[in-house]
Amino acid sequence: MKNIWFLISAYSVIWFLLAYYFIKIGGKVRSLEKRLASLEDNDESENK
Amino acid sequence: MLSKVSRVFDILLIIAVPIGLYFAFIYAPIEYKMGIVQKIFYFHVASAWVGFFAFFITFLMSIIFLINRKFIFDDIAEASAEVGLLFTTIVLVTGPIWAKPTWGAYWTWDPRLTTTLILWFIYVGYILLRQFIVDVNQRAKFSAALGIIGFIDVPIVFLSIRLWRTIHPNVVQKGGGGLHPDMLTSLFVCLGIFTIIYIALLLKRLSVSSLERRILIIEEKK
Repeated sequence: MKNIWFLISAYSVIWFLLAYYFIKIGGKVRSLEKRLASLEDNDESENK
Repeated sequence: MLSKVSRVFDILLIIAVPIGLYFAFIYAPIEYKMGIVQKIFYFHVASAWVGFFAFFITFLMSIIFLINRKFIFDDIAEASAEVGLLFTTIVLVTGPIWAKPTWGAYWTWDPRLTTTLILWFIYVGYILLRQFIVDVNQRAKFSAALGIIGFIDVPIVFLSIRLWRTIHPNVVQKGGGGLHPDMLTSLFVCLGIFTIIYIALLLKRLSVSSLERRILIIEEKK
């Protein structure tokens, strides 16, 4: 169990970086989807 | 369509990650000389290979974009470069963490480490280039050129342990680099799982580009 803290640090970094990117991009997708939906609604109501 | 496929890969990701952790921590035996710290290997190597693959996709999509000028290929190239950069960052962080107890130092100017660092800088440059060019056509064209030329470093990184003297271990050789069969199995499982993670992240990043393009079209109409 020598050097276990190096192993824990490495795994923490890997999963932190992946989770951070996944959550950040997922959040961006959701906000862009909302913005697109609102623009499309405005577009439709202007055309009517 | 893109969001549906993206959701499928999100679910696959949630299933795959615990499987990968099981193979790395429990299935794979503890290496005799390095001890438990050697288990960094499964995700370090998988990250490297997936990073190389991501840059290959950028390379391929850049070529296709220059031929047919369809922006979808530029979007895929950009998304793949960004995700590839993430995996290369993982390689450059986990490598030194593993190196310290194994070699006694976090970093050496070893050919494999140095060429990987150069690769990282090339793709940071690719991302920065895209941030600084406002014109959409110019941005795509110049990025495509860098995406093609930058890929030259990938085979150099891969072959560095054959071309120069290095202390970095060589897994890709006959006999699997002397790995125990259970270790080889774990490595391939982790590689498969990181490929799923790459695809999941690529699809999400691609959704961003696609949505931004659709928003731009609507805003330009007004």
